[in-house]
Parts: sequence; structure tokens; C-alpha cells
Amino acid sequence: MMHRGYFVFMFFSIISLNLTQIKAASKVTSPVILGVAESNLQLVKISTLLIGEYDNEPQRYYLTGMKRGPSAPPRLHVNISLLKEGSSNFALEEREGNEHIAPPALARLRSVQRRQLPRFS
Amino acid sequence: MRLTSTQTTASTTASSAITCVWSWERRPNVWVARPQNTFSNTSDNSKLSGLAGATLWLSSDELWLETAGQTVLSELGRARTYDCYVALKPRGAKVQMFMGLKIHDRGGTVELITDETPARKLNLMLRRGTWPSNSGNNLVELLILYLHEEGANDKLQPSLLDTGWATPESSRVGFGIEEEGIPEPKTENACCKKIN
Repeated sequence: MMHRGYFVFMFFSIISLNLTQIKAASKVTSPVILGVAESNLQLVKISTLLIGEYDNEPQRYYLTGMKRGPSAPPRLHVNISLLKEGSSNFALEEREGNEHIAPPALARLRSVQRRQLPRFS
Repeated sequence: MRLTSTQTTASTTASSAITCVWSWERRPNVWVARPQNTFSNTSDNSKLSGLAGATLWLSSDELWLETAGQTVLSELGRARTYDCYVALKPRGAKVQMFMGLKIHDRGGTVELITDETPARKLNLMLRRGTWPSNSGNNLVELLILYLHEEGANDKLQPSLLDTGWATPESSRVGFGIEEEGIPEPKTENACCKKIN
């Protein structure tokens, strides 16, 4: 009988604990209206995070390797930069992403060959 | 979270002079930007591509594009720039060095034309992405450097000359091979160093 009473006690304790957690979770996920200062702070975070270069070639390569090449999105390279310091305007440059810079590389090769090269043997 | 109209909207001008406005909201580990569909210079939204008109999911290392009608989200990885060099020494020939090659680690490539007769076309490529682990049960992120040689014509697949890999947070990745047991061995070296 003691064991049965113990389990009944634990059963109701667990139920009440779950109800408490659900109630607490509902409080956390309720919408929060931010003030102007906090909004400015969040905007600074977005601006810092957004700036940069992005490319989806690794995703395309992965999907192709997984035999899902036809569903892969088209290749896209994006460069996002800030238009003006302190503003929320960004310049967006989109291109296909395959950079082949043969002429500069060849020019560098010729300029390097004029100098003494290290021996690799 | 919805910010006030002057602070939440990030106007972005595309190369085709399209101005888009997004409204940002915060999620636990990601920022979500929903387009406000205010395209100032075009009335035909079907011509939009890329970021214009897409819902953006921004995390610390990725930017996801959610476009209506696409079953797979486009995953744009944040790219970092690397400074690379390639040193080649064909059998019985002089060393050729290519230095100052700037490529990014999300599939950035650079084409090299060797100073030989006939000249060879090589492609150096850097890719940081997810790969199946050795067990096949998980995915791991790796930074991999490739050196391909293009075929004699466009129909031939490029052949892989060499490859080297490193962990994604590495600041350097490279490889070096040298033939053994030959008087004038062939060597191929390449290395990339993260610069930003």
C-alpha cells in the first residue's frame, strides 16, 4: 500500500510540474513590445550581421551529391554592404558566382618568374 | 518583435535598381526578414530573382532565402576570403608560381593558365560545406581545397590533381605532393590563408 500511495503522489506531482512548465512557457513566448532604444540596439545587431558575402555553391554541391541536383536552387553569390554609415540602407550585388580570373593570375605568374624562385626539389 | 517603420526597414538596392524593404523580427537563434513588397522601380514581381521578394532567415553563418514556389530553400553560406598560392613543377621543367590569388571559401574558384606548351588550364577551388561523416549517420562541416585540371575540350570532365582539407575554423588549408623515385620529380603545392 505504501508503494501505491507513493506512485500516486509522484503521478500528481509530475502532472502539476508539467502544468507549471506549460504556464511558464506561455509567459515566455508572449509578444514583447520593445522601446525605441532597444529597437535601435537590435537594428545595430542586424546591420553588423547582414554585411558580408554569401554563396550557395556548397548547398548545390551537397544536393547534387545526394542525387537531388534538379531540386537545387540556381547558383547565387550575394555581396551585401552598407550604403551609408549609421543608416539601414544596404547595397546588394548579386551574380552567378564563378570567378575565373585568369588574366591577373597569368600576369602575376610572369612578374614572379622574373625574380629568383625558391627551389622545390 | 516589430520595430518602428524608420528603424526596422532595411532598404536594399539590387543591381537592377530594385529597392526592396524588409521588416525584421527576432527568433531564438535567427533573424527573419519579411518583404514588404514595396518595389519602387518595377511592377512585375515575377521578374524578381535572388533576394528581392524573398523571406530572409539570417543566422551568424548563413542566409536562407525562402521564395514562394520553391520547394528547397536556398542556403547562402557566409563567405570568408582567403589568399592563396599555387606552385607547380612539371617533370623536368621550371617551377611556376601563382601568388596573391583571392578566393572565398564558399565555392570560390580561380583559373590558372600554366606557362607551358601547350598551356594547361587549372582551377583552384575552396569549398566550406557539410559532408557525410565517415559513419554515414551525421554531417560534418569541412574546408576543402581542390586543384582541378580541365580536359582537352569542354566535353571532358576536369580531373582532380590534388585536394587538401581542414576543419572549418582553420585559418590555413593546403596540400603538397611530390613524386618519388624519379630524377626530376613533379611537384604540386597549394596553400590558402584566411585574410578576413
